[in-house]
Amino acid sequence: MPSLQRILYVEDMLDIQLVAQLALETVGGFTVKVCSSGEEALREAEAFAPEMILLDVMMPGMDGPATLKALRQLPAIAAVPVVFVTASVQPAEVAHFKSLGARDVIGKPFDPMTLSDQVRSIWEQP
Amino acid sequence: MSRGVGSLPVMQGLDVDDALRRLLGREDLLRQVMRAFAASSTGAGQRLRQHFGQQEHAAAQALAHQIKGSAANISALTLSALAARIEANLKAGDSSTPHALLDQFELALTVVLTDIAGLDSPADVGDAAASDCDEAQMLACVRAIEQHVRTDLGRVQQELANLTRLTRGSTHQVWTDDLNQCFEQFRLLDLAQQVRQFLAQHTH
Repeated sequence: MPSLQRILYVEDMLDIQLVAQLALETVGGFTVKVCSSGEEALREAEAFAPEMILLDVMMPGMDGPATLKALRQLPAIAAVPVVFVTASVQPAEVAHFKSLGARDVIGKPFDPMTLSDQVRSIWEQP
Repeated sequence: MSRGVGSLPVMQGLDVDDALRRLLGREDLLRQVMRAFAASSTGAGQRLRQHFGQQEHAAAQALAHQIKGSAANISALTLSALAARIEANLKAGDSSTPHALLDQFELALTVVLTDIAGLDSPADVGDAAASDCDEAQMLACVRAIEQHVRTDLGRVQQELANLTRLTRGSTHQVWTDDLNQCFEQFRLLDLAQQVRQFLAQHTH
């Protein structure tokens, strides 16, 4: 399996964006593009060509599930694994997100020191 | 209460040690994250009460959820826990969140926002030169911001941190604070315009 390099991170809250970017770029060494809304992600995704997408669930406008559904309509992005990043991590909630097509769920608040390991571990899932 | 760490003042509502650990000791980034939190959360207590008053329970739940996550992100754990309780009540279909809980939430939020406002108090200006800064270095930062503002926000963020450090205590500090505010509020066009104006005035 090729190593993960390019991550699209979709999150509307600037404070959480800043921490995630630090965690993924500085700690993880990934190339990260941050989008502040589902709409922006739809505009930018194909050009950025991410290998994985991290998607906030509760966002104004298009929320995470609606963004996932729309991303799946983009041929170049349709097969890119999507991981929801959310504070809603009860087992039933996680099962629901997976039923929507997410590969996995990362809980908020995430630990910046271990976020990249979590992401790599999800990437390596069969 | 959290003791002052590095050049950070004493904080009542945040665990600064934990917040700094989360950010790999990056004090500059912690300041940015806290200011971004303040920009998005100021008035949240009032908005929450309005949502309850108008029976907008979904909006109240979304706001409580947002504050829960953002507060935890800056290690404002009391505030995060109170927001979590409000969200849990609403999620369970109980829209009769007691006034006492809203009062506690609003108080905890005020404490955190006051902490963050204290970052910019005169006592926090630091020991940089009071009247001047290295203009060549400053111009280099500003040029880099102008160059990258449309393409690389990570680089802009880095240059803003450099600029903030360079201008602390100088006559340019207020201007730099304005730039930081533009960035934190994602007013990137304003940021670009201010930077262009500065370069027009300071280069030949």
